[in-house]
Formats: sequence, C-alpha cells, structure tokens
Amino acid sequence: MNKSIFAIVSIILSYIFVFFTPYALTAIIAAIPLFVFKPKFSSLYGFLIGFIVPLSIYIIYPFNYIVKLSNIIGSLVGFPSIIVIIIFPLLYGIIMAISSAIYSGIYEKRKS
Amino acid sequence: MKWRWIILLIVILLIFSYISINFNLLNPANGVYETIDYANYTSQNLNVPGLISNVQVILDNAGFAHIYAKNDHDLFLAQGYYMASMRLFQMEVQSLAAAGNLSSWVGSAGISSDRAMWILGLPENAMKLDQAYMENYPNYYGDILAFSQGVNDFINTSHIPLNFKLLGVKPFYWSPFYTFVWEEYMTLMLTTGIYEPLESALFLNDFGYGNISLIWPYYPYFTQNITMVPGDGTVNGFNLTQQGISPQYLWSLDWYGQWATGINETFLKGLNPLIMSALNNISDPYMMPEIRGLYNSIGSNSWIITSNYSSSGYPMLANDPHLSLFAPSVWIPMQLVDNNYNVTGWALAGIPGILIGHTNRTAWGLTTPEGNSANDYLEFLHGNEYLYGNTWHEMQIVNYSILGKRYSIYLTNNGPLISRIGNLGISVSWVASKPSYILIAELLLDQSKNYSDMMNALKYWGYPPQNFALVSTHSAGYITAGWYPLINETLPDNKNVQVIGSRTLLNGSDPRFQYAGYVPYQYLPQDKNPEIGYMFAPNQPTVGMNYPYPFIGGFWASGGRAETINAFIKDHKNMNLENMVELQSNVSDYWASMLCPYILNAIKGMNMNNSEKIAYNYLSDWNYTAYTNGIGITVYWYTLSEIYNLSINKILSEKNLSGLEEPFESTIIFLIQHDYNSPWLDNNFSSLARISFIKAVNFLSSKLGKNVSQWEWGKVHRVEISSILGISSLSIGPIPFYGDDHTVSVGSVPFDLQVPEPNVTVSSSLREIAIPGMGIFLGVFPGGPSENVLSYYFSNQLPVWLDHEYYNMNQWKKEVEWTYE
Repeated sequence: MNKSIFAIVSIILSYIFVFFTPYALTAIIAAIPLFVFKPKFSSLYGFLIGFIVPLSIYIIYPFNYIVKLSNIIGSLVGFPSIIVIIIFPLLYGIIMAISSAIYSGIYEKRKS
Repeated sequence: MKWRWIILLIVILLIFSYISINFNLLNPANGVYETIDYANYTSQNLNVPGLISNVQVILDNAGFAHIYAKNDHDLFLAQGYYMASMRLFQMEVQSLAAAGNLSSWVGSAGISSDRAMWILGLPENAMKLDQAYMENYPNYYGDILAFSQGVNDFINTSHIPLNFKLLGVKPFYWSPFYTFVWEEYMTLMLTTGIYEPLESALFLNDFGYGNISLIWPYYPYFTQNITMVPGDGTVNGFNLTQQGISPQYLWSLDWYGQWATGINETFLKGLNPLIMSALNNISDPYMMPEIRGLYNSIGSNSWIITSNYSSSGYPMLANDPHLSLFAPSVWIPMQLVDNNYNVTGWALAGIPGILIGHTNRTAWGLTTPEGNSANDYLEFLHGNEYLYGNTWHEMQIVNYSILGKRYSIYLTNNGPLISRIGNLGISVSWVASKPSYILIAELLLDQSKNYSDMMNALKYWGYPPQNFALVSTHSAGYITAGWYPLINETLPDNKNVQVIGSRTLLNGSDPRFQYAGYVPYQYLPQDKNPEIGYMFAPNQPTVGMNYPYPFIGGFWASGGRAETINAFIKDHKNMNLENMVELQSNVSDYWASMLCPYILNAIKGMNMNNSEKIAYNYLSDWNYTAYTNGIGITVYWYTLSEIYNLSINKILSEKNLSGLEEPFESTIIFLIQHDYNSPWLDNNFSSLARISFIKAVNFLSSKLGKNVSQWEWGKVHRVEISSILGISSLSIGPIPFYGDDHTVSVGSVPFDLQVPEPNVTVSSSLREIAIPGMGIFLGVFPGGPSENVLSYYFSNQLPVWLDHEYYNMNQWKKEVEWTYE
C-alpha cells in the first residue's frame, strides 16, 4: 500500500481532532498512521502535519481579528502575540513528531 | 532505534503533553479564537424554542436593538435571548457575585465578596422576591420566566463567549432568582445608610460633635436653597411647622446625641473596633469598590424644564446617571415593541424591561437621593440571644457554605449582624429585606402614556429610593420614589416627630428606635410643573428644612453640580434643546469658581520663581472649566490636593481615618469665610495656600517639566473603562478626559498627588435628553451592546460619548436583522 495514504489519514485525523476537541494531546493518536515511515521521516512528517494542520485553521478567520485577539491574550499571559498564535500548532507538531517517532521505532523493533 | 531512545522519547512526550494542557485554550478551531466567529453579526433566522410567534430583531447603526414581538411572552423571551447573545458572561458573573457564589468561579479570591453578599442578605432577599412575585403577581412572573427561558435558549446554542473560556468556566442556566439578586446588588450599590452611619460614627468618636457638625453639616454648606423640590420643604401642603415643630430648632439639635440614638456618647467611643470590623466585613464587593464611602462618589445628574420655561412650549428632561464605567457597560440599549409596549432606552443587563428611557409620550430618568433607606443598630448580645426591650430573644441563624466551608449569619429583629465582638454587635436594617415590586414599576413605566401613568407606576417602587425625573408631552416634575423607613423621635422639648434615618448607630435594644412605617407616597419629595419653571436632582438635598419627615440620615453630595445646573438654567430663560446639550456637556467647576479666588488672593504678592509666576498667571486667567487642554485646572487641582493633604487629610491620617472621604470643597470655602485660622486649615489658610501652591508647582515641574504650557489636564486626568474582570487588555483606555468631581460632565478623581491622577472610573454611564412633545429623544452611552471585545459593537458609541454628541433615537438605520422563530 502506498505510504502516502497513511500520511493522508494522519492529516485527516489531525483536522478532526483539532476541530472537535480542544486538546493538543490528541496529536498522539493522529500520529499513529505515521508508524509506517522510518523514524527520522516519521518524526519530520509528524512535525510538519502537526504544525501545519492547526496553523492552517487560522485562514478561516480575518487576519486583523487574529492579531487583535492574540495581542489581548498575549498581554494577559505576558507573551508576544506571535507566540500566542504559533504556540498551539508548535506543541501539536512536537507532540506529533515525538509520538510518530516512537510508533515508528517500536514498529521497526517488531519487524526486526 | 534502540529501546533507550524510545523510552527517552516517551519521557519527552510526557513532558510536552503536560505542558500542552495549559495551551489548549489557544486551539485555533475551538479555543479562544472561536470568539472571532461571533464578532460580526449577520442577518439570519435563528431557532429560539418557546416562542409563540416569530420575533423580528433589528440591530441599528448605533447599536440599539429593536425587538418586535406579537405578545409580551415573546417580547421578553426575545429580550432574554438577545441580551444573552450580547452579554451572557456579564449577566452571569454579576449575578453570581450578587448571589454570594463568585468563589465558585474565581476561587478563594471571591470569598470575602461572597461573605459580604451573604451577610447583607442578598441571596435570601432574592429568594423572597422570587417567591413573592410567583405568589402575588403571576402575570409579571410569567414575563420574567419568559426572559429566563430566552437566556437559557441562548445558552443551549453552545456558543461560549470569550470570558468563560478565559476563566475556564461554563455558563449556568438562568432563572428569575438571578434577575432578582442582580436587582438587589444594584439596590445595595445605591443604598444610603449602611456604610455612612458607621463612618460617621468613627469621625464623631475621634473629633466630637462640634467638629462633625462643622465639617459634615446636615445640609452641606450653600445647599439649603438649591433642593430638588423648590421651596422650604413643604410637600402637598404638609410640613414640619404644621406639626408645631420649628425647623430651625430641629436642625440646630445634636442628632448624634443619646436622646436621638439611645446610645451614650462615651459608650459609643469605645465601639471603634466593632465599627471597623463591620466595615471590613461588608466592604469587599468584588466589582464595585466605590460602593463604600462616606458621602460616596457615585452621583448622577438630572433636570426637567417645564413647558413655561421651554422655548418650544414643550417640557424637557435630561439625565445622566454616574456609575462605574465597565466594558461592557451595565446598560444595554434597545427598543421593545408589541401590543402593550413601545419603549426605547437602556435595560440593565440581566433584568427584563427598560429602566431608563422613553415611550412615545413619556420619558424618565433616575438619580440617587442619598437619604437613608437602611440604618445600623447596636445590638446587646448574650450567646445566641439579643436584647430587645427588657427581654432576651433567640437570634435566627442562617447557614451557608462557600467552597465547602460552612458559615452562619445571625439575625436580630433589626436584621443581620454584620459584626460582633464579645457581647456587642452591629446589625443592619435594610428595606431591601422585604419584597418590593420594582420590576413591576419599571414595566408600568415602560407602558406609560402620560404623567399620571408614571406616578401610578412608581407606587410599586420600594428600593432603592430614587429621584425620578418625569416628563410627558405637557407636564414635567419629580418624585423621590421608594421606601423611607421612619423612626419616631422625641425631641428635647418633648415634641414627637417622625424622621428618616440616623447620623450614626441606633440602639437596637430600645423599641423607641424601631421603624414605624414608611413615608406615605403623597408626602414623598415631589413636585409637578413647578412655578419656577425647572427642577434638578444631582444628589443635593431633595427637600428643604421644613420637610415633614426630616432627613436626619441624609448624606448628600456637595451640591457643586446642582449649583452649576441652577445657575445655568436661571441664565437661560426659554431653554431649548441646544441649551440642554450644552448643560449636559458643561465642565465648569462651581466650587473652583468660589475657592480659586481665595487661593489667588492668598498667594498674590509672594515671591515666585519663573514657573510659579507662569502657573499663577494660568490660574488667575482660568475660567474654572476642566477641558483636556486646560492648564489652569491642572494647577488648581494639584494645589487643592496639596491643601487637602497638608490640612484635613493630615488630621484624618493622624487618627487612622484616611479611608474616610475628604470633606467637600464647600466646607473649605465655609471655613475660609468663617474661621480663617481653623485647625482644619492648618491654622492659617494664607500660609496653607502658599505652601500648597509652591509644592504643587514643584511637583508638576518634576513630573511634567518646567514648561507650564505643557501641563494639560488631559495628560494627568484620564478615563479608563475597565473590563468586568479587571483585565487591562480587555479594558478601554486610559483616554485623556475632561471634567472633575464637581462638573456636570463629571470625571471624579481623588486628591492623590501623582501624575497622572488615578484613572477616572466613575462617570456618566449614559446620557439622555427627551422632549416627548416634539418627539425628540437623544441618547448615548460609553460602550456598545456587545461584550465581544473584537466586535465593532463592543464600543461603537464611545467616541460619540467622549465628544458629548448623541444619537437621535428616532432616526436609525438597519444594520443587522434577525428573525427569531
């Protein structure tokens, strides 16, 4: 089976989780299909999918509102607004990268 | 990959997973960013369960919602739905605070506020109201239930506003209880007689009767002839003289004395710890810290012009209630239309109907009269018993819990104990502990067609007593509606008189000082179409000294705004709409016009450096206005602040009474005129004024530079419209702001020596001008209908309000249209 199918499934799972649950932890589940890749590719794809999927959701909002709200939240928590915007996608990407690397590593071990 | 690497990755994953929990709120799809979806309002059909027929809701260009229904049930259901869609968080956090349950949302930070609410009995009073409406007025209760259903319909849409997400809480379902408890909170905020007698007692204990009567006279200096009701205090032909009592004699008496309170003055002096404890126990309402304060700073303006005094021949009304400015405002603007109602104005978020507004033929406005509708009693206790008459009675105990901890309230026949030390306690007797149907009064006002409809509506109004400015197509007048509890007093000359309130604590064990009914409606302060042609009620004394029920517990405002209004209207015979607007935007300080010449006279001729000379010139050229570009007001205000700090505040501070409000400028003026070398003026006003001026100029030079022309008022005097949660990033401002404590367009700040001054947080919460006979209705408020900080409608009216401009409420343009179905 073409491995890109697994990547697509992972992307779909990511969108579903990001839309319907608030938790970044769901990246652990969304990363499962990436086990078919070698660990270094798996973690790279995991990070890219995990980072880009949540980031892409911002396109549904007008940019000026994103900036305004990020400024408000940023001043509330003491972060620059750019950090407020990318922190969730970044965490989602990191969790997905690590998870997929783990799955891939275990899969390799099992195979060998 | 080796196992140890896998295990290491699992550990790192756990760490990141833990960290991520704190950032779920920033999920772009359903975290805080979801709020953006609701920032723009778009026309659509909405499913609102429970409606009998469709309701049309139009949001206009000014942010007024126009709600058109076919029956009352649908009208109030739609009002509830619309209000919740705009202000759900505000409604819920306010009512939760009032219900003494704020800590369930904010944790231990809310405990002292919650305890204060329970001690004062707000949740209990609201439950009584709920029961009373249900039993006695089921039709009106039905309207309130419909309103609640509308709120809950919105909650069921699952749209969670931003502030809920920030606090990490979910909306709770609304019920009439929350409407009533918020109504009780607003009543508390506008009640006189809970805090004032306690603070008055502290002042009395430290300075004695001679000083308190000098510094805080019963009627503030210069206010005897500018009362709300013109004349000597006679109302509907009834006065003190008719009862065989000389007003001069009555008002010359020591109303702090044992004969008037039942408490020996020496005994009272030992009660300071008990009084302080009482103030601490009830002084932490979460959102409105200015609630406490002797002669507190909340005030309002209103005036009416009769048809004889109006250039058009039609009567006119102006009103601007001063409240804490919040983002969002406590007010939400709207029009309600069905077969019974066609009313436009401002509703209180969380309460059905329109509280301040107009119909096609009537309009009304509110100010606070500052007379006691509550009193504090000293209680003699023994275990769980209190003394009344000569016998001991069991106290009623009410238990409640906050964050799992149990507390108890003890009630005597007078009311809840707000403090207790050993066998002494202080209780509060507050009229709000009995159900009053003010919501019915409001809804009847909303349906009024003429002056007598409004007067009949206000018979239902119990608390808080309010000065109602009323205008119809051909009549105008005032009534101070509400329950004023009466106390039977025997004067030293053995004559009996019923008075309103007390200056200090009353003896709770003595039946003589119990309430003996309320002021009858026909003798409440009132007048209609007065011969003089106008009336005004910016918190000055409501009636003259011959009033049949003397306001002993009258803690009036200084009367500076009243003087300005009186002088302006006197100078403008045949008032017109432009004059009304001009007066409502007036930033002249009346007390400054009296006090500043004394200051100038005192500092004239002294040796001055260059900055002092320039500052002196600005001060002497000043026209007593407080515009943002003014320099004279800055020099005056800081000089006055120094005067206070070097004299009165120093004396109060030495007695640990810094928390008490500073005496009025009118008192300083009186002292200058009658006792130039008073200890309250640091023994010599000339030297006090000179030192204060020099210090003020030095201070301003160090903070704003030596170029005096740069000392603009707007640089030091700014307004902030604070977020309801106190979060600065959700607040508006600070913005350079005009006015001061005594200007009609008000901008109160304390006499703090700092640059900039503390932000103005209390000002005109709305401005209304109405001429029903001509169909002219103008209005504006500092905000917008929405609590969504991203929405245009969050603060759309603010620039208009800041510029003293208005919306014509009869001319509007449709922006959004919803059909509730």
